[in-house]
Amino acid sequence: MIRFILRRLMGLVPVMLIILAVAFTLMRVAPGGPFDQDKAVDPQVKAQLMARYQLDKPLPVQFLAVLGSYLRGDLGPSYRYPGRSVNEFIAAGFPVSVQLGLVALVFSLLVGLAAGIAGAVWQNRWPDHTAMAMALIGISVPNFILGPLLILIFSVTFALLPAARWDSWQHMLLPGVTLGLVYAAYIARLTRGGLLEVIRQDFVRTARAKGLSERLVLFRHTLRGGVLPVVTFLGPAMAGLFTGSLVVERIFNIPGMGPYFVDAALNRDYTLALGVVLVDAGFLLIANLVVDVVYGLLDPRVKVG
Amino acid sequence: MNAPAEQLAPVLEPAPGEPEAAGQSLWQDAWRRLRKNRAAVAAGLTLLAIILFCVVGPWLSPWRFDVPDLEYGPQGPSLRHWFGTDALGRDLMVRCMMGGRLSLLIGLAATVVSLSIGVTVGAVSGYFGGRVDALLMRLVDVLYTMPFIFFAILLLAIFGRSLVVVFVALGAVTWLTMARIVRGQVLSLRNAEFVQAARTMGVSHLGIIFRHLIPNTLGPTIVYATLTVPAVMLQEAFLSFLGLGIAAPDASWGLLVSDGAANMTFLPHELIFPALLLSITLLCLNFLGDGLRDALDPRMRFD
Repeated sequence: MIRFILRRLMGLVPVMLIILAVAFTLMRVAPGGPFDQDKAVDPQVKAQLMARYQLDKPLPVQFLAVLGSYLRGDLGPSYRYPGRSVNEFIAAGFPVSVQLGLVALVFSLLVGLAAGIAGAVWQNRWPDHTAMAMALIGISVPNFILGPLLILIFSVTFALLPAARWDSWQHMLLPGVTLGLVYAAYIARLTRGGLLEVIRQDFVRTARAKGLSERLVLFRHTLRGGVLPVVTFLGPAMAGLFTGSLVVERIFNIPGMGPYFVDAALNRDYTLALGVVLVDAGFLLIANLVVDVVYGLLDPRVKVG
Repeated sequence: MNAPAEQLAPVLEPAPGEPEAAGQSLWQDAWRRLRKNRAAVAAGLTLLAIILFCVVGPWLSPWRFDVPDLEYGPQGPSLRHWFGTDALGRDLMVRCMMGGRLSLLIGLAATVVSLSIGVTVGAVSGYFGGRVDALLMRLVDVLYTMPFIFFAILLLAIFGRSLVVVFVALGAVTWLTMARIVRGQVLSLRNAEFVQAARTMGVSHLGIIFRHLIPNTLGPTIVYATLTVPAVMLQEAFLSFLGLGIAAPDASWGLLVSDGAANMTFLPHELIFPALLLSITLLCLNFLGDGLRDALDPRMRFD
């Protein structure tokens, strides 16, 4: 097991390198640099700036320099905000983004699993139809529509919950629901489908035949196999949570990493954009690895190691 | 899908004069199943209505999407402006129609990009197998792990917000699954008798791939393409919402929702109409995709 994890971690290194190289090249071949501002900068000053940030060296040399400083844990200085390092931005934004992602994930798992189980247990009866209709609506209403609608209802009309910022648990409710609802919908569909597939298998019949209560059959035997599709889905869902948080952070004015990335890309703030790509991609790859390991633990047929 | 009669059809054409067998082709069969699916039919009709509304609507309306009605100003729905007007006093209904044209166009065009790349890569990979297959599929695996939205954002931020960049960025993001699906299909067909027959007759590799193999993967491809259109429209709306998609005064549904969200406290209708149109369209496309899947390949059914 440990060897499997180590081998997978080693496998992540080339992937990370490719991601960084592609992002780096994309940003450097683009027309326009971080010091091309509306105001014309004195050419001499610009040359000095370029030299200070090593932008005058050939691209491969620059890339190696960037990798070197990343290995030392230094993400470099921000080009656009003089005197502030990329590490500072990420230290401020990353924990908030992770919190938001976790709230959304917990919400989607709770709601999704409950709806999916209800749908499978009462298949083709009204709880099933209700749950699946809700799921279809959840899939079709994008988060950038859901967010403003929730604000309109809960903050503007009824003034129950705050519409922006990130200070207390009340601030987390609306963004968490906004971000998590789509995944709750997918998880509900996957849980229902997975359970229905398992529910007819022999080992479930055996469990029933030996006189276990319905609840034990469901929670100890059926669910374990039935949630496998959900676990598989969690990998892509993590990626989606990150993507979605770009929008949700903007709607609710949450000080996470999303707004930095969009602005950094638009402002050609190379170091900041690349730093965000590094941290987010690294987090995603590791999250996917965790999902694979959990999958191996749940499904005895998958040999991990 | 793999009915032997289907596979042999290109080889064994009926002799002239011989009456054609009164069997049902795969497509007739699928069409019959699709028509029986009431949800899919309703979704298809609604979709047609929305497309008609967006394509024909602007010609029938007395208002223009980029000229404000100055004496009216920003107000809610009325007889003069059925959907009301936006914050600048422009007719919202015409803007929704124009936005729909663009959103639907982007959905279709990016799906075509994604189809061309995905089907070609998948078919080549599955047909040649061996090292080519290993290389291409590793590439797909690596790309899968990339947080692609970052690259779409970088592309748009760097090369400007043109329509073509949006197509390419979104198409490039969505071809991976398509490639995997087509590869799987081609892999299961590449040793079939009709392919061997074509090979013995001296048909080139490319000829076999494009004339014989790809047409046989159409079913799953169409299903996945139908589900790609809403996914792409969603991504476009998402990019527009971040201020990276279409630029004003043009509009897409994403941009309209974004504008609406900015003004929702005093002009809630500006959010609600485009949001409704976008959501209903996505819902219909998903219903239709599910229906097509059930109709074209009953084995892929959910339950």
